[in-house]
Amino acid sequence: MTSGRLKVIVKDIKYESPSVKSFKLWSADDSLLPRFSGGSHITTYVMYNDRLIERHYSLINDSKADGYYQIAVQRSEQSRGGSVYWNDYMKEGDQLEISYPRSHFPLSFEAKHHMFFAAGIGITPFLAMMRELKKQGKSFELHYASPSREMCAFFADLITMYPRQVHFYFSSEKNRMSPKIMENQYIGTHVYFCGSAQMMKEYAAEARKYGYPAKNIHYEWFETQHTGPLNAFQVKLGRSGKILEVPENESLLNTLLACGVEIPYACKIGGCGSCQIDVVDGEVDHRDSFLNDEERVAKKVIIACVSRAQKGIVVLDL
Amino acid sequence: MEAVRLKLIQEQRISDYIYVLEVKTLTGSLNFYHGAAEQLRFKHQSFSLPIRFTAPYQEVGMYRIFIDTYFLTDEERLNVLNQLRTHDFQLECLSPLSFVLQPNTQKVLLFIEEIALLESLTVMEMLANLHIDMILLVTDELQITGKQINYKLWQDSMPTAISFQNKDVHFLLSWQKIGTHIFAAGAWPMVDRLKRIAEDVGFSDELFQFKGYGEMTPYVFCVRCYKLTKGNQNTQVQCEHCRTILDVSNQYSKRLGAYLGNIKAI
Repeated sequence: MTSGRLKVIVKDIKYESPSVKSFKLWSADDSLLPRFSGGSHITTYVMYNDRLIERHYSLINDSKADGYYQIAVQRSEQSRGGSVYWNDYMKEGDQLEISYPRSHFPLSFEAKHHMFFAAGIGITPFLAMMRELKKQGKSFELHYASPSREMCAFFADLITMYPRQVHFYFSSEKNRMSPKIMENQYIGTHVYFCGSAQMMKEYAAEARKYGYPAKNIHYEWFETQHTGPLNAFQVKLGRSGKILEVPENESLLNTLLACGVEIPYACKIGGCGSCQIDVVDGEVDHRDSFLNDEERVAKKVIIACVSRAQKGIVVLDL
Repeated sequence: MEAVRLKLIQEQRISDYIYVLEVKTLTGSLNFYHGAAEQLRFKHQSFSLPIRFTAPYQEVGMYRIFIDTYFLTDEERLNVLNQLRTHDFQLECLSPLSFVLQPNTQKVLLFIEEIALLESLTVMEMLANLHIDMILLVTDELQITGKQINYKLWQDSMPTAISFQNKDVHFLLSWQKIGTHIFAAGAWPMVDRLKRIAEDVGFSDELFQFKGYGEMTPYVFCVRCYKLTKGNQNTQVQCEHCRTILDVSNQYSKRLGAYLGNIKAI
């Protein structure tokens, strides 16, 4: 087993909607898996067509009590392998490796009221969050958009467990979820979004417009946000003077790791900041969703998993 | 850089010591729309006094300046006024206003004590110019629209001030909606009290701006009972709530407004 990973066995595969399956993951050595906090996710590592596929999935079960992990995976027609493998090939009893839980999308401990906005499979992180809040007697509400009642994963569970907090919006019934719901809420309200990149961008922009402080707005990317040509570029390791070529279509992070440079990393999509490196010189083409506009100007850093050189060579403090 | 020279157009005394001046720029323009200055400089003489300014008509080179003559003698006060009426002048030692209007602010609750009157008048002017809803909350001694302040330019546009001394401030704040900001200007005890209530209700740092006057009371956060006790950094204090002896570190929490007090090791 690779260090820092857990070996698990798949059990209890269940359809949560025609296109979403849930999977329970138990430790392969019968021990209880470590606890996590609502909003945490794991990275799963599976081999498919001789290729290692790493995918991030939110944990959806009771974060404090169960001792196992449960994830839900939607079968996507645009799948790059992960969702197809999980939905079509994963069987009960299969073994795989997963990362320890990580949390880049925690509940705010300062919030007086939590408002969750989910689109489609974006419901998953909120399932564990709501369990946690209900146990603590905290105030929350869920707004959940789905193509139809039939396609709405966890519909029955949600309506049973949170009859007063959950609001559904089905496109088939011409009932659309709107960011206007966030307007006129009381001070202390925090908003959380999970869905497509477009949905999250739209809701975050509207929240700012209504006057929500940045600290009250929470969302988590599960895909790289900023795209552009993946041209080759050069970096210089400032301390050793060594020059590395980052090939076309390859990330700086992978290049550094392949050359034996040990740096921490986690999400690999520019969302968590784990692989941030100080820049001594050079212009960076920032493609992450971790740094804000002010930080991009004020800090001389690069998020190695997604960002590249704007032009010329970038000198790293490594 | 060209010096900014100003000329008085109109003056008005709005309290015992505070004057509001409508001025026109003769040359240049000030660096800030709303700001503070420390000196009025005439050709042959300078006066140090608290000054604030706003730019309601900046596009035509007009500013509104507030001066507080409390620290001047009667003779100096007369001299300043005479100089203003007869000579052009400059503002020296400029700085931005302590309060900054954040984007997407819908409403401001402005808490004022008399000590911060000059700053507050400027903030009120700024908010009125930008058409931001405001609620004025003042101490009993300070009635902006009452006897102490007579400012005809404001009579129509300024809201009536409400005394907050006997009000349930927690209740008032807890009913505020997203988009509301708090500006608090006054002595530190008032600012500290409001800060705690605001935090308890859910106002984040971004939504609470303040300017404290006078001596600041340092507090210590007790790691045992999580309550605050008066005390300063690098000292030893007894928690007023759980009686634990605390070694106070120099680690300061802006959010709590207190130094961290660790349990004293025996």
